Amino acid sequence: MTKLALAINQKRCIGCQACAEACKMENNVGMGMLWTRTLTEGSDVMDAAVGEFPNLRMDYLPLGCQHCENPACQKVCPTGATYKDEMGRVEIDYDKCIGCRMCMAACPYNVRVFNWTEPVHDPETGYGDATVPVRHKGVMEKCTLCKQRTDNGQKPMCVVCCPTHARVFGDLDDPNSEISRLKRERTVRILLEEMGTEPQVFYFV
Amino acid sequence: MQTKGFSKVAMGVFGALTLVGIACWIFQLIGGLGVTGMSNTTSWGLYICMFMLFVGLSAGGLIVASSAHVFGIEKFKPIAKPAVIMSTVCICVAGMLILVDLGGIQRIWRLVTGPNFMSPLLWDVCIITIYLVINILDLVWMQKGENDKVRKLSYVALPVAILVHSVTAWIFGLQIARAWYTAIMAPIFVASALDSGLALLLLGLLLIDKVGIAELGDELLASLAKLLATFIAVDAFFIGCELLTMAYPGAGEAAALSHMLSGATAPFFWFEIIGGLLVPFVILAIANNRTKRGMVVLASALVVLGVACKRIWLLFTSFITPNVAGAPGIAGGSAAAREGGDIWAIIGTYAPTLPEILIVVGVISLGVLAFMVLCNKLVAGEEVEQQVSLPSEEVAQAA
Amino acid sequence: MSGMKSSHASLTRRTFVKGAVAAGALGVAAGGMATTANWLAPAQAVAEPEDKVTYMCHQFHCLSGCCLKCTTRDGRLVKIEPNDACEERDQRICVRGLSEVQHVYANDRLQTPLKRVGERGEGKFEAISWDEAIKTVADAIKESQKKYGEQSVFYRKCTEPSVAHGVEWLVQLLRAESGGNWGLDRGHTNGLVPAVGYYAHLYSRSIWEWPQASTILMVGHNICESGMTYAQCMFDAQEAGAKVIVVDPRYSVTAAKADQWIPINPGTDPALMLGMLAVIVEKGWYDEDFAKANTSFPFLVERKSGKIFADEKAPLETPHLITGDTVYTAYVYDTKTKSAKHYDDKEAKAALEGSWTLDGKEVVTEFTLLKEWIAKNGYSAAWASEITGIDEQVIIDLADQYANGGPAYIDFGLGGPDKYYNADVDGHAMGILTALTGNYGKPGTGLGFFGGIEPTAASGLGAWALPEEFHYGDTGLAMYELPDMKDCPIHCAITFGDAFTLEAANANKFLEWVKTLDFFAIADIYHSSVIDYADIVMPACTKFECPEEIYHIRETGMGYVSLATKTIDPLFESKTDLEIERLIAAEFGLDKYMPQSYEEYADALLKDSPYTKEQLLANQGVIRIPGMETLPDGRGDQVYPTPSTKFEVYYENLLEQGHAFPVYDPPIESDPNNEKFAEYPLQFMQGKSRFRIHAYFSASTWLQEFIGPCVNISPADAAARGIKTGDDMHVFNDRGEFIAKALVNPGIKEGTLFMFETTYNTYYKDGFLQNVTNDAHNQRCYEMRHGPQILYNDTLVQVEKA
Repeated sequence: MTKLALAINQKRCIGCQACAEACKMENNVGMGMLWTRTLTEGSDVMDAAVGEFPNLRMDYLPLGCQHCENPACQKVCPTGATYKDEMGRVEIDYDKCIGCRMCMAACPYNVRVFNWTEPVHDPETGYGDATVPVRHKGVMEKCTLCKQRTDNGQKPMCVVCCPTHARVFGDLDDPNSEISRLKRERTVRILLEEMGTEPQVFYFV
Repeated sequence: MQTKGFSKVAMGVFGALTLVGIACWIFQLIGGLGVTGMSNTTSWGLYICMFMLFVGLSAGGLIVASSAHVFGIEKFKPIAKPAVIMSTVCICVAGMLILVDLGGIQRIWRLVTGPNFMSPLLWDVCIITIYLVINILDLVWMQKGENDKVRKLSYVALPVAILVHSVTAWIFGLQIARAWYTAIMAPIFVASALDSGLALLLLGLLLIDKVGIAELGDELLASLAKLLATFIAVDAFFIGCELLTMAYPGAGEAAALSHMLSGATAPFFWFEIIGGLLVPFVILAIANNRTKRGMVVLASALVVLGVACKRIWLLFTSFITPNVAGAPGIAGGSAAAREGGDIWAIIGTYAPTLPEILIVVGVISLGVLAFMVLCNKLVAGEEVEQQVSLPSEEVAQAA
Repeated sequence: MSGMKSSHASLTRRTFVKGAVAAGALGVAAGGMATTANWLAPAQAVAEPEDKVTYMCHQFHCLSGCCLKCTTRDGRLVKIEPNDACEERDQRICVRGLSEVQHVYANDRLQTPLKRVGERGEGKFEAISWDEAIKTVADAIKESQKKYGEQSVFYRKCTEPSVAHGVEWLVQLLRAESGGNWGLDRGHTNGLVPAVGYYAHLYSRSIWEWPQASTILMVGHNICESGMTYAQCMFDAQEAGAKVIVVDPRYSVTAAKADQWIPINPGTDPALMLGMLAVIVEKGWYDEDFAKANTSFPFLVERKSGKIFADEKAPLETPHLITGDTVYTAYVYDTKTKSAKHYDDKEAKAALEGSWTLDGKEVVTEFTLLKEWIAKNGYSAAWASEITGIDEQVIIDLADQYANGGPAYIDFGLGGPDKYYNADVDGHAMGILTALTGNYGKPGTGLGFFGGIEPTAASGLGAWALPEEFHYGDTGLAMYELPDMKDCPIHCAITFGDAFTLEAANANKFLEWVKTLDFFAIADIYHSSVIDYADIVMPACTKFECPEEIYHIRETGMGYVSLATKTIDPLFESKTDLEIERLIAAEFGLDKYMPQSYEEYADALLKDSPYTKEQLLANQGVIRIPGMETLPDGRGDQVYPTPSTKFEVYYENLLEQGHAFPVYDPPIESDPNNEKFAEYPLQFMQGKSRFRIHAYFSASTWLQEFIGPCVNISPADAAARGIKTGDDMHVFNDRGEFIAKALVNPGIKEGTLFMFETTYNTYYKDGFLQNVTNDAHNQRCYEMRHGPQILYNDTLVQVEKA
């Protein structure tokens, strides 16, 4: 079996949003929506510290689909449009999505984006990989772990374009992979672990 | 021309509102759900809110009608037919609200070809369909006078009615991601359905009494009002249980609680607690009031409005604070965000847009229209010349 | 005033579009003006679109020079990713590079040549043909040259429209003025050149050596936002055990990632360096062997005159790096013979400390003089603490860590403290610190700007030679001096890129000067802040567009030779810088000296090089420069390109200025003791954003989703003025004003403001950042290599809720 996963080194994350734009580009994500973005944790202002001068901290948290092993979104999808695929990714079959947004309510991470209108691309002619399916208004979308790339053994675009190499992509079912080693050996942070969704995206410093 | 029953003028008004609603829905089909106030932060809005309300409202009718047979409460029998009409109409309204909320209604057949039986939404679709079929059968058999079938059906109808509200509750209550996640969600939904459904039934019965379709005797009114008081108390008890559970640890759901007590959803919360539970209970707890039609109307209207407010705070409180907080927040994805404004939202906000409101008004108007037509056809029976007044209370509630 | 300005801004946009619409007659669809995508929409979809992959080297202007792989479909750019023919660590890209997928097509693109029809600054234009534009420009140059002489023409290629960056044909062919001292990024370098040689900020060792350090002291360098693709080196170093210490008034991203952040009062960095110096000297934490062997510390100085005690019969080969005067062999005091010996006498055992009377003159070593200097000026950790606001013990600990902790770097940014009045003092003091502790010319040590300009082995690429008669104008006038001149000799200006609003402070004053020019033409890619002041506007291509298949050739900052090929055809009517320069040159009959095409240029550079065009094209446009396999051992031999070949710490040429050793100077304006402070009590700083290269990328709608013009303010200052995040904030001083969005940020020290570098003025509600910046010059710097610097950060302002 394959269980594709992503590990993110928060120490190395400089909050630059290269992942957000790389993903937007590769996956032809419309304006006003992103499949992944980097939060300045606990702050209401991007790149603003938390605390009182000079006792401050500022941590970046890249946030996209967590590709949960126990995905809340998949369970609630009435048509099976959201599914867990054989490579361990949580995917959406846009042809099956009826736009009920049950998955959006179920996802604890706020990482799904809905096509409230026909997506707007700038430039209008679109961008990204030619094989990425077109999404129209009324369907849900989110990080696919760059299905079109990872199907062919390539790394997701956010991993390729991260300027500080903060992202490690790999197969958790392969005990010898770097990501398996990281998960075994490092203290990892699981987002909202208490919710039992068992994310396959995890964080370490 | 004046006939016994609802006037054509009244029906014309609701028919017109229905047409406006349909026009807005077409507008929404063309533009997408972006014409509503919903966004990636608050992904459900007025439609789902009203869906919750109308599922609940449909309860009163069927439960009262079924009780007449199941528990042999004879005095309920005369009102059984209007009760079931109301129930049918409300569940249809609820169903339509779900349909207008779908972004991809053209793919709705996927529910049939590839259902995911793990989804509470699918359960709800099934149970609501069954519930609707029961209502229709009930109505048809009542009309045909097949009382034995009606009696037998009642044994099924009652548990199904309870289940409808429970399953609807589970759409929300099973979501660990949100403050909705609580085992008491189903009991709360059943209790809310009982009180709001009965309150609406009372309003409806008083209305058809007033327009001369069917008479509502004082004795029956008093006993229904007493029952309503009991239901209010049950509802209040469950809500009290949930609030205490949220508040006691002083953690976890504290954010949601603070939004309810003093934040964005506080007006709705406090209206429900005071206006929707406390005041009507006090009114109806006084035996004398139960035969005063004005007081019963006031209490019933307050209960329905209170439950409507509860749907609002219950739904939206969970959308305000994201579980994973930080700037820039959530990319809204809504139409407004794309017009050069700030696309980000740190917390969820929501206000329905005009088309959205008109669609809801249209759907409800269609329900009112159906109620009028069915009452005129099925209940009014022999024509009796009578002056009718516009069902103003109904309009007020509907809007 | 603000009302007037804002109506002006909106007029600018509208009228520009109007002017552009008129270009419909010239074959541009009117609809295409409003949205660039229409222009690009395929006439009809004939067949399944096919992806084409090309390679290019991106920004040289952010100093990264990432090698990119670009995908086009139907002739449109659809994807950009790192060039995977580079070594893995050099497969780099950042958010700016990625955003080019949209930015190239942005609505702010200049689309046709334009002629001004309104007043300068009004922004009223009409579309004209290239022929008319070129002829107008050439005629204006000719007229100016005839009327006032060759030196009346100012010509500068800057920022992005100068694709080949550094290749400036026309300015030389016209013998035009190009602006002498640049005034940017050389503040510290001014104070360092006499010590370690020219290009002192470009330390000749690699940032990839950082993991070998124990301490990396970053001064005003926010590498995690400015040089993002190099930030990995900082993390590599931390993972290898290095302690990263960031000195910055602001809690920057880099400060947040550092092991220690030392907040400092803005513009007081030289006091910190002098304080550390005092501690190291006092505690004896200096590296005596290094100081004796490799620095000028043992050199003798005549106490009375302050001049180096040297043998006037023994001139050194290299003249003085600043004055060009002959330098003579300095004496040291030989402890064996108890006499003066040439410093380079191998037999001599030079004393580091002491004073003696030789030839009747009292002489003293530079080191002893430094000690006395410190004592005389009262430099100490306590003194520095008072000025910098840093705890005394923190300064002592920092000195300890730097001097005794093992191999250490001082990495200074090209912004931050570099843009204050006292930057030269800071540079000189950092130089002395480095010389004293021996942190130079060894792995894991160094002083300079890291993460941008990597030392590379010689590429062996040739150059395009112009006949000797062609050269830059030689008056040496700095661009930033022009508005202050009584009879400015410049009457005609041609710029590629918005030099006038990016490379000059106090925009109101500067643009008034621009208005006095007889003629001003600009070639630019986007509607940048200065466009509205030009008489002729020429649309330039981005680095992705080229009419020919072969595009620019160059050495990348990462140690590759890159041959770019065309990614897409030129958009709209834009032309490459080579084309534009050729067209103008042709009007003078000078185009024959220029390459006819990028291919001819590439062929010329490749002719005697170790590479061929075919090899480059076969290898995705890149070939590693030979010798880059190992890290360069810069100054490993401890031979410095100074007259003495030693690390020279004592600047005899600054004796008159009193700066032979560094003397602390407060910032000229941004100082609480300044009389202006009562009226303008906020210290205004600007710096890099990850979303911009200066103003470039302002037009990116992708990046606009994250950022617009905004000023970071401390919670206390915001509260005092009733300002909340998202409010419009009016920023002003006696030079000018602008309005930007407020971001209340606890990482900002009370009394300071921080703004990311400018955005095109059209995106502000009113004014823009350069309206308030300080255009004062430090006269002392005329005695230095790079002259006075522009004091962007040495600025006081007041703010109020707009």
